[in-house]
Amino acid sequence: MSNLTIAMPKGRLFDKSVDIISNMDLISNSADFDILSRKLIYKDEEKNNNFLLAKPKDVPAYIEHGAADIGITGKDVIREHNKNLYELLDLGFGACRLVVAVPEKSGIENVENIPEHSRIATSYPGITRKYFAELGIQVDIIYLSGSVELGPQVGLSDLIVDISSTGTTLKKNNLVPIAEIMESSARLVVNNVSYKVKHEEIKKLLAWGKKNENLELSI
Amino acid sequence: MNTNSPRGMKSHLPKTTYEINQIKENIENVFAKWGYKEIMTPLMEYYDILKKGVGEKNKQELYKLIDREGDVLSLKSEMTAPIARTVANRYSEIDLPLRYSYFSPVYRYNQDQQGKNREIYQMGVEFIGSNKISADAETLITAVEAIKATGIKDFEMDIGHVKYLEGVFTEFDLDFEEEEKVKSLLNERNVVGLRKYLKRFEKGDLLEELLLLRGGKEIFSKVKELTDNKLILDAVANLKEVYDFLEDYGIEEYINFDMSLIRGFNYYTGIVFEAFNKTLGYLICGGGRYDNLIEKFSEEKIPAVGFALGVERIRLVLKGENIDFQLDDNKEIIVFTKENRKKALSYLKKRHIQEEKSFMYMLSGSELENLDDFDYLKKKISTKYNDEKIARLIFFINKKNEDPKVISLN
Repeated sequence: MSNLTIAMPKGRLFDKSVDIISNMDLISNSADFDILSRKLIYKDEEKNNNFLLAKPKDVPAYIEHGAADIGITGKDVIREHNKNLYELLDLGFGACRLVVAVPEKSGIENVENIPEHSRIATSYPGITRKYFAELGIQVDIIYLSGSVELGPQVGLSDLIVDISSTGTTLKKNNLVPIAEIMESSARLVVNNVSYKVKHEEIKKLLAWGKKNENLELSI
Repeated sequence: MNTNSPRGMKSHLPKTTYEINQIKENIENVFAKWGYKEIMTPLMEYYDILKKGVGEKNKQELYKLIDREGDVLSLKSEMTAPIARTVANRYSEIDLPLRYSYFSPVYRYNQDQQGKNREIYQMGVEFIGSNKISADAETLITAVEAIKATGIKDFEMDIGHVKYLEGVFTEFDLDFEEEEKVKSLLNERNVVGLRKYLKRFEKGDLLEELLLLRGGKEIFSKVKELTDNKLILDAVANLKEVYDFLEDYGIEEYINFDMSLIRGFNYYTGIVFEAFNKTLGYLICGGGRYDNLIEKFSEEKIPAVGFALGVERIRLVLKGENIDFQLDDNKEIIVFTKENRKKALSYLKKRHIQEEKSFMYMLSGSELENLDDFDYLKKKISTKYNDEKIARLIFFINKKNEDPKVISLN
């Protein structure tokens, strides 16, 4: 019996996360995810695991403070929040890129040509600050929690840093990507002490990861 | 004006302060039994001294101030570097080996909104001047006994060895850059990144297995199956010998080995260890051997080993385990009228000699008009001290020279 508390990500990562978790044999086939989405907490009696539902960007906080043993969230979120936790497996799905995008009509073709003190709208202020500091370009960052692509259209910002999976949202908003900051995909993260205390379970997950290494990338 | 306490810092009211003091006393008893003497070091040190302790990576966690001479000072963020500096300064006055213990707040200017304190109460010991395995073992035993003495039962001690990692790096012929990369991935606990990175090495799988090895004493034979590298086997033999001490002493049930254990500080040279509570997930203790730190402050090469305990973390664990702090806090109030003051005060003095907690209350105003109504007086006085445990009221209100009237409130 594993007795793990598992933080599941809301939104676009949710369905694939459920697939993975059942493939890892951590949840029974009869599990009722309606309860999870309604009550945010669900106990799977058969597998003796608890589930909680959280926004992907909140998952690292649940893990770091030990409110959950393991969880699923994006690499982008892990890097932005820089929490103290184990990043155990690359689950392959939810692939996207964090890009710098500018309005088509700006004519800017690469990051070196971004004027000093440009205003950048982003949900990733930490990564953005570090990226531009390393390039030696001074920028002003405006934090937005979502719909970042709106920024340049209404004159809030000159450009944006945001995730893009297919590029259609950018295109629809007349934005073109000019640089890629990082690639991201869903990761299995583990609390530091759970990694030690529940190491038998963790070893099984690592073994699962190795066995499905090729699968990981194709899911 | 902002009337809150600074972020990450707080005042402790009597209840928490009492709990912290109880923990402190229990731990101090253990330290004293093992021959440790408490020392104190200044709140501030020169920035360069503390930087040597915490290393490049954690130096931004140091609070910095500039003194009148233009030198950069810092609030100490841990106690090992200040004690190492002290020993180096006073080397001619002291005889080795030394057993020093401490209780002190330390300061870490960590990032906001992490739910972490910036003022941390630490206790610990430094065993200075011995490079023997018995010193490693004794320090580990002291740590385990100190945690047990606080009342925490559900904990585990993880032990690793810096030389083990060095051995692995030599065996697989990693260059400096590769070593730093692997160390930083281990330090970040980035298993995904580590596994991807190790694919570049010919025997990446074996390397991964050696790095992520953890478990009980079975790992000693496991390592022998995996490698015959002398450095690795020496480090493991060293751990095995430490373990034998712990087994003979009878605390092996708390011990596990984590070969990937890298403590944040870069001064460790031998065994490293950390203890954590299993239910709440808090690290409560960390330490290890540091044979090269003191020589950074003096000509002398002096080996040492030590650890620190987080007092507030321990308090939270005890709260989580529902361990009750018995606050012996019954007080009595000596109530009197002005005419009876001399009699009342000499009685109060006597009570203090008898080790009772007593304080005075002189009646005034409307109270003086109701001297016969004890119920009224009792209610009036006890509501003023609602938050305190008042055991009894002792009245000196009669003109006649009779015994005081005692009203018990329990």
